[in-house]
Amino acid sequence: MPGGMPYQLEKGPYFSVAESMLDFGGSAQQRLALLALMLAPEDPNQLPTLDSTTLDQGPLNTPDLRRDHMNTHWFGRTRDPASGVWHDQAPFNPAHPMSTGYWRNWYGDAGGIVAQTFIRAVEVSLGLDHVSRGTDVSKLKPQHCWPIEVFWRCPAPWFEGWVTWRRDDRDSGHVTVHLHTPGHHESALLLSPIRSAPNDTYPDYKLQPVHCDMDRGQWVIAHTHQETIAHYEVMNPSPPAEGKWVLPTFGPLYHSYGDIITVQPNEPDGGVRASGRAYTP
Amino acid sequence: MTRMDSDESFTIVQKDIIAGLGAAFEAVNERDDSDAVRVADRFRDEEVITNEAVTAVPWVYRCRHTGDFNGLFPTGRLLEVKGVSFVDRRGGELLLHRYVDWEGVIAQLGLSVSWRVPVTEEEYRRGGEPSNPPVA
Repeated sequence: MPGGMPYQLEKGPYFSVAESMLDFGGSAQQRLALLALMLAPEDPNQLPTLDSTTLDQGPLNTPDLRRDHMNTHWFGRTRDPASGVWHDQAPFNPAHPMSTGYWRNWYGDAGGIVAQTFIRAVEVSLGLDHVSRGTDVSKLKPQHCWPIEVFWRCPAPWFEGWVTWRRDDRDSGHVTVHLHTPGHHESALLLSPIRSAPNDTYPDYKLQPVHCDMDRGQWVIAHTHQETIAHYEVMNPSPPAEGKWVLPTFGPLYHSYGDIITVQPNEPDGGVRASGRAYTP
Repeated sequence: MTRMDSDESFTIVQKDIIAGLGAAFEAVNERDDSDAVRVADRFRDEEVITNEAVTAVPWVYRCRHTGDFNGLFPTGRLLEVKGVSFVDRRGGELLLHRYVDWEGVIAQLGLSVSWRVPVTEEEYRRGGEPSNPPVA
């Protein structure tokens, strides 16, 4: 979540750890217990993932810093400095419209969408019908325990969570979560998927990867270069009433050129490590 | 004193707007097309702005987005297009120079801005790419 996001699709360290946490070593009962916690959290900040010590070497090197980032930037919450209690953002005010958190041009309940997305994903992964609040989750019978994969896609016009799944012939399968978010504060997109030093020296970065014998992978296929072609004309002098107005274009035209290449982004840039990243509380 | 909406330049601009924008943005008026274009409210009661050779006409066009506007889905939305046209009589041919508040049109149509600026790697680093060394 924190730091740069040079590409449009990301997993990176945070969602790698989220996947590891959701795995529970394939234990359906542990995942069921997590579902119970998600349905009635006493304190959403105590839900696992951001407490993982495997995230401590990153730019947000304590669980508190990571939770601050999640609450403040993702969910637009504010913390009472005296009590430490997190408060939801103020109600939407059409007379003074504000964005949620660090998202640009969007207001909504990001925390609610994220929570409901993961509740739905866990239900699907366990083969359970949708569980309503108040249900005694311990009495539910999981049908299976499929792995859950998580991606973050940015930018999108508004915040959405998507849950997709696929079952194979032997009743195994997998669930994929997509979080689609608006652009965020001071974010940028790289015009080329090719990184230079030092990012191209980080583990797992590969230009034109050949092997796919790792446990995990994430590749982007694109032209080597993108450029923006601006159409900008304020004045269009011409005789009147001939209908020869120059109408504006909406943003630039993207011109993609060069060879079509495959790049395996490194994990800090949003890619994945070959063996994932463990959740270690 | 000639009011702006009584001047010949305003009539020229009115017709030009309907001819130029009418296919994408249908004029909205209870009576006839010409009233869909009016002098901008803040200048309506002013004397015509001119040096005889060039006349400035600030205008508002009340319309509905029903036709093709650069391939956009026709929303049917009611909107006001604002602009200033300069009626230029300096040469042999009368010319119109049109400055239009397209950003206002884009906002009224609800087109979004991505906020993720496309940049080169050099620009990305100069803009403060966070130091994200690989985590062990």
